Amino acid sequence: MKSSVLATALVIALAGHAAAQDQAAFKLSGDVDAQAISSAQNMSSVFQGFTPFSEVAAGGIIDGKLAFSRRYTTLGLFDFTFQENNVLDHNGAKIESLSLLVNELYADLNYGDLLYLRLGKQRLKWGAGFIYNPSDPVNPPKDPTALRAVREGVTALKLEVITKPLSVMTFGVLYDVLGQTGVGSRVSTPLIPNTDLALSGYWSQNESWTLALNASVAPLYEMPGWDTLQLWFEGCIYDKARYLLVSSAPAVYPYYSFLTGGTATLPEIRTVVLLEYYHLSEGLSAGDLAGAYQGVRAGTVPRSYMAGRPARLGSDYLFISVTQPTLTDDGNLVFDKIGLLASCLVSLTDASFFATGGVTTTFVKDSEVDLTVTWANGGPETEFGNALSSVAVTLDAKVFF
Amino acid sequence: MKRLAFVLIAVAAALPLAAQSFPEGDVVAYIDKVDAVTLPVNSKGRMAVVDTFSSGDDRASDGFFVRKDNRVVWVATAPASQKNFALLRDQDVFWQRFAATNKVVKTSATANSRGGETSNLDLTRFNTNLDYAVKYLGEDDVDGKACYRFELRAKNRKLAYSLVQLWVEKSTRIPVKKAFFAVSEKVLKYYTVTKAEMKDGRIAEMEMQYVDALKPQDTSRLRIFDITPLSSVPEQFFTREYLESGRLYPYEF
Repeated sequence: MKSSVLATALVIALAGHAAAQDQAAFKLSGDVDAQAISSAQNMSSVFQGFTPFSEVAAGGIIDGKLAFSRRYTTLGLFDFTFQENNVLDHNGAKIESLSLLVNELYADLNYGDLLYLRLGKQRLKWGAGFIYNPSDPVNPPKDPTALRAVREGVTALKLEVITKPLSVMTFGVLYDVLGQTGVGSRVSTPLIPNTDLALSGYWSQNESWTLALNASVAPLYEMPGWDTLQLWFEGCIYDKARYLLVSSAPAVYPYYSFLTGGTATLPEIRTVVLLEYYHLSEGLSAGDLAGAYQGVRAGTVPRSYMAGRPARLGSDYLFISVTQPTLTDDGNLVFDKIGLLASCLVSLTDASFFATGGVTTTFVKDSEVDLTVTWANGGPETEFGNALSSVAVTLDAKVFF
Repeated sequence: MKRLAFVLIAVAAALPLAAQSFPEGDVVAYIDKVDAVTLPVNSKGRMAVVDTFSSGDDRASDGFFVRKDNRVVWVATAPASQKNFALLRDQDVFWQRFAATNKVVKTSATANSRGGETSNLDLTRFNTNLDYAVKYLGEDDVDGKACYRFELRAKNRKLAYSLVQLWVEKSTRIPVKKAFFAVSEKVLKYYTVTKAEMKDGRIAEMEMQYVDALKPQDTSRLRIFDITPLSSVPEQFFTREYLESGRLYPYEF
């Protein structure tokens, strides 16, 4: 909290300085989202009563970005999410909640065209992974079961030197607990043909050190029709366990995690296929996971150990996604405005899964209506078999501004 | 006798070439001048594209671009859902930035990331000699305008069209028509310049109409305006890191 207040004060001071510059302007963009969710509770979940659950909820979300720019270059950004939520059926009671989340709030300064400085709450670029960045020790982790969730940044000072052959990013991250404060650096280069390579390092007193390698390759970029094929790898080793242990089995040292993935757009039909696999050395085996759930039911393992680790309890996961941006792209009055999405996250550790299917429509200009269904399933001692909501249907109506 | 026959054949073969020798000298230098009339090497401008389909549906998007020779970055300013979407061309490598997440991924020259008849290459191709080998074909007439006609063959297979034909108006050096061919040498689409305003010997505003040769009712109207020469453009604008940092913002200048 203290670090956020400090960041806000600094950003306001820098924005004030920048406002004195010529041709500066504020621009607001984002979307207003009216949302209704209907969920079926998983009666065998160990999280009943521990995590809030509502069968029917409705609310409004405003995702906004207020950018402060001079000509076409940003000088600062305020990225926020304002949410108003109504639980319509919660044991007969109506609960209303309001929240404002500051996702990013930063100011940019640059010295010439080489050195760039960003100060404030910001997301620091780290991993190549789409659904999850297992090597990222800095940013709040992505939740692979909530791909549309807005991601918060961290309070940091970042310096970047950007050149064509080599870019270097160095940063210091400020957390409320001084011991968690850390420093890191990332060196990236596109010098190997069709490849982007990055080496990163991070150190903090409490989290110790992390060394990471990220690589993205477009192996067939020279071949028309196949040039959308891209492969990536993200991996790291680190010194101290990131999660509280619920298993007596010692983890392999040094700890490591990696993700590998690929995507391609099918020619003509424009379907985007994405595949990712990740492995966590800290992840539990199927036996340990079953034992942990039995421990939760017996009251010997705190439920918080299991709840705060979405899609990171097991050791191996596979994610498959198929997206059809629009059914047709030839001016058809109906099918040009309908898109489809299907994805499935499978825990290879315990064979449970979290599947998503959705339809997106864009019949009205600058708006979108989405219908999404999620389904979590598996056995009683599996990760997704213990999801609190077994089936959820979400209807979103978004207006972009 | 055989030698005489060979000389006669060689002379006969050379006749059409002699007839098509370019009247203004060096073809490559001339094409550079044509490009300079269209868009200065270091420049910025705005672009508005409207796709019209035979169904009666249409789709519009606006953006601005910054050019440094064969490197171009294009940022969408409309529609609202696509604000912040960006397309980067760094020589023969193309990148796109997703509007919502700032994530940058490689994309293809042939893809039409914004939809319609205009490919990524159409939005970012401004240096003809770097992309194509140019050959003069002769004189021609387009809508009553006296033109030179050229054949452009792609130097790199990644480029969208293996063969292009270009008509340049003699008096203004404006490329008034371009036809794009498939590998089979069948016309895929063409554009004609429907409006051009000149200022200081170069185009200040231009409007082109792209037509799908296979479905002529499907068209795209591309308008480039507010074209402004820049004294210098930072190299960093054309790197993935800079695009991903979100610094290049869809400010409507």
